[in-house]
Amino acid sequence: MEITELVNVAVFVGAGVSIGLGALGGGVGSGMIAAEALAGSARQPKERDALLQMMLIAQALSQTSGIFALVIAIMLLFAGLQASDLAGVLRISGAALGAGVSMGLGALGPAIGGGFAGAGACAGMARNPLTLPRIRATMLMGAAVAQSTAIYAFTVSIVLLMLD
Amino acid sequence: MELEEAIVKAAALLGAGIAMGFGAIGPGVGEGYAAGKACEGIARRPEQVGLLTSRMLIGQAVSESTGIYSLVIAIILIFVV
Repeated sequence: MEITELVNVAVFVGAGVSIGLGALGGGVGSGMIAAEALAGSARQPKERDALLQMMLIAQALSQTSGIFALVIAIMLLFAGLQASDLAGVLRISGAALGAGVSMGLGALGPAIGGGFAGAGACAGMARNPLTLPRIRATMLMGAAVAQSTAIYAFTVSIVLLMLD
Repeated sequence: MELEEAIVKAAALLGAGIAMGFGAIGPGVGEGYAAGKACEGIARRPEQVGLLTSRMLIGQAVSESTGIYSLVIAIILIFVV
């Protein structure tokens, strides 16, 4: 076995960390939004359809950082990272692990934050259905700001992957 | 010499990933929580929507600051070390 194959250790671990941690937040956030949408539907049966629509929009926003993590994991697996000597193996291993850790952890927070935002939006909608357009606009604005650190983490991951 | 340099560089790159990774968690959760409470506030007082939205953005900007620190440190670790 050649020494360049050692790079795959870090690549595989990095890909696993990226999608493993990145999937956490999306699940928790989407569940929180669904819970509030269900509670609101029980409280205001007439608003069922509007709540379902809001829930799906908010869940899509919460899941976007998970998609970033999936993209980084797939890039790690299929980028064909190689090194020619031990020094190169160490450098590229550090970059691959760093990219996986960065995006994996970085996808956690914005997804859970998007979950809080969507849950608050669904609760507010159930309480006062007339304010739906304003609540939707505020939720989209707030959730988009919350996703900004996921963009930073994605950028750092891409820079680390493109370094070699 | 090259081996030691490579080990240091690998540690710097891993550190950049750890810095940005952990640093992105907090602002994400905090800003989302603020947005959720802003939506609930708008439901309670629809006429205050302008004030609630602008205060939400101010609070989120403050929450973002540590995320920016993490990004700066990560960039320094990648390009300067």
